[in-house]
Amino acid sequence: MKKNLLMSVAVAVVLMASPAKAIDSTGGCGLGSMAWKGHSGIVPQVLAMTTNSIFLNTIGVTLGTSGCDPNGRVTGGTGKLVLAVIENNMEQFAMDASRGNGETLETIAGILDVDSNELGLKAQQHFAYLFENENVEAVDLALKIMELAKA
Amino acid sequence: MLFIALGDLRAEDDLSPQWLKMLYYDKDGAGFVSIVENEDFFIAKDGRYNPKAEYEASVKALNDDKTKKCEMPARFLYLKKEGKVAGTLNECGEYNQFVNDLKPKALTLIFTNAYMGNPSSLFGHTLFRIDTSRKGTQLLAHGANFGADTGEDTGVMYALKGLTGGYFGTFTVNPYYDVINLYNNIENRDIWEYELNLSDEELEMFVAHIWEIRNAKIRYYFASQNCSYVLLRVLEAIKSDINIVNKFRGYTVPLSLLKELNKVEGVIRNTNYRPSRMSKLKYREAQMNDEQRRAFVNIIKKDEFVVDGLKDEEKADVFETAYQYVQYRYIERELDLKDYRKKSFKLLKERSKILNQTLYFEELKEGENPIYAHKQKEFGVAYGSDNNNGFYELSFKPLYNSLLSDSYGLLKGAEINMLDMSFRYYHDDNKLKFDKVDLLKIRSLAVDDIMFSPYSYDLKFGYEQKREDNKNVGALVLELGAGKSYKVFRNGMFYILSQPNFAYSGGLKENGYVGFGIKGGFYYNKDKVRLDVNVLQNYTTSKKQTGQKYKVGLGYGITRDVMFFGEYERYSNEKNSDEFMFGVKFNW
Repeated sequence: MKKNLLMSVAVAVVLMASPAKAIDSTGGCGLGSMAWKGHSGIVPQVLAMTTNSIFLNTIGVTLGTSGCDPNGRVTGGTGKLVLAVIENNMEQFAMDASRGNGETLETIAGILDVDSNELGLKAQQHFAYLFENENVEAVDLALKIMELAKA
Repeated sequence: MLFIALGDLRAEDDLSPQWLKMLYYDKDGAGFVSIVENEDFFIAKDGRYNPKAEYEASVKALNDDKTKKCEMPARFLYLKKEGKVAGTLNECGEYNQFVNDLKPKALTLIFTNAYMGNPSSLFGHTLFRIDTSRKGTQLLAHGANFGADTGEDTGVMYALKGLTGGYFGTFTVNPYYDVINLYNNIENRDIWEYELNLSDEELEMFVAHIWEIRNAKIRYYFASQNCSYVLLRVLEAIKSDINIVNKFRGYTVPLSLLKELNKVEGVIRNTNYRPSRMSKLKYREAQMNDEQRRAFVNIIKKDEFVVDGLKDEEKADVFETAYQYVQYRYIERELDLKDYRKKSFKLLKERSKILNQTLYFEELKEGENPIYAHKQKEFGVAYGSDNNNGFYELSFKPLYNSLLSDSYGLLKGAEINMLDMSFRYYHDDNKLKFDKVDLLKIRSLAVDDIMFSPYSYDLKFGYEQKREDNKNVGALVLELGAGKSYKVFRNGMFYILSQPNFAYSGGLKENGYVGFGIKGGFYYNKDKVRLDVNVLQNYTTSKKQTGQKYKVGLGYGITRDVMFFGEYERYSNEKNSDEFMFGVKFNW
């Protein structure tokens, strides 16, 4: 009974509480990527990371430092856009890749100007390559999906 | 162009409606005042109050200072059309970057469904989407949102300042995927996308206008000058054939804006529904066959992957649904990051092994379009008997929805009533009486099921009649309830709420009481029939008020906006009393 009373009071308090702030606890820019996102959220050393990548030399793109633009807009060239989509929609992208279709794949296919069904198929077939384990970096994924799109 | 004499300007009464709208002027007695308050939005010194002086100063400034147009591209485009200035916006680097990022193709009005967990979201929210011409989808479009900058304020301060205009609102532009993630995936609110019918010129003007007002300070009032009201003013500023803002004096709710806009012929050219994660999950779960459901429950509850009997496409469905449920749980902080990642990864790995399978069923695509929900204001006439004392009742409510009303397009099991008042004429006594006013009455009966376990709550604050010593006594009342609701069959649910309650009145013994009650009830809603039955067992500090209250409410819809209703109430405390009435309610 006491617990219920407390709960009632809590509900009343919740009703008076401020919105938005509670939600925006993720910090940074994207909202949809907080969990899948790598160790620290925003990816700082793109170049340092890509030097270890086996396909660095095959894709001549320069990704931006992050998909999140300081002025809050979608901006930049192909690589940066792909990174922005993946970094900020990681949950959805992971599912789309596992089933071979979906809105994030259509978007990326649009950015790269490739057929979205084909890209979907490749993503699904190479899911284990894209997602080697549960700790993945958006930058890695962006580079890999661009590599797959070209292949 | 440089030789325009100011004398060539039209007389003040000739100022075009669009000029007045673009700078947000309102009539103020014999003159004008703009709702934009910062001085740097205007060029003339008295620009906020003098549209004509502002017009003249704008023409002059845009001709004299070639950088000015980059700050005020909408004014520039407008005056160019009028032949008062020449040139292009090509040399405006920052502005062109803005346009180039947006790549505008169309304008869409976004409505996000009500959210019962937050007082400023009870009525839903509206914002713009500037659709992108980029290849692919609208994920790379941008939302343009008008919101109050509330700083760190919370609680009472936040509510008070919000209602009295203590905050300024501004426009912010965000990628649309952030909008989706916030509303669909974090707050679990359905999104409706209404594409507006704009010409290329109007669209260009819209983008220029959003740029121009990005630093404008407009006072934000939660009830009146809110997101919906300001969105409508922006729309009227760029689209001259819309003239509905005058209908929204006093208060504006998002749904009314949608409904009024929808009356303007051809203005909405496309409607799209984007269900929330919760809506999708509920839909998917409901579509599963028994074996699928068993496998699904085993995965989400016990982490056991037993999917042997299932066909490939059935399995694919189960994995995807379970994955989405894991995402939901993480947002709700029911899972820690490590566990969350492990589960997510495992499910998707399994899912990815099932190649080339289309889904067993389609994703949820159809929803109840809130544009066709019942109208917001309500008027009622009824006849009834109050302890064998016959009366006629008139009732009025400016907002918004009761559990006995039609729920098409609205949140199920939720009601929000504001300023719901009624007057009675007791014919035997020949007396007219003010009966009650619910300043605020909210109920959210959210069903607890295998995936979701939300709390249900109710809240009532108002003035009503309490029965004591065989007479009615007007009292201020406050009731706060919290509890759970369970579905018993498809359209019916039971609910149980604990309910602290308070009443204050000079006419009651000891000037009122503090009470604690338990309320149990049943709610049914199918097509035209809505039924709410409940019993409250109340323990109060006043002996006279301790007892039970039985309540039955019935609504029968004739149309979405007209219903027959009946109510029966029985108090059984120190003395018994009962009351019933039946009548008609109209929404308009």
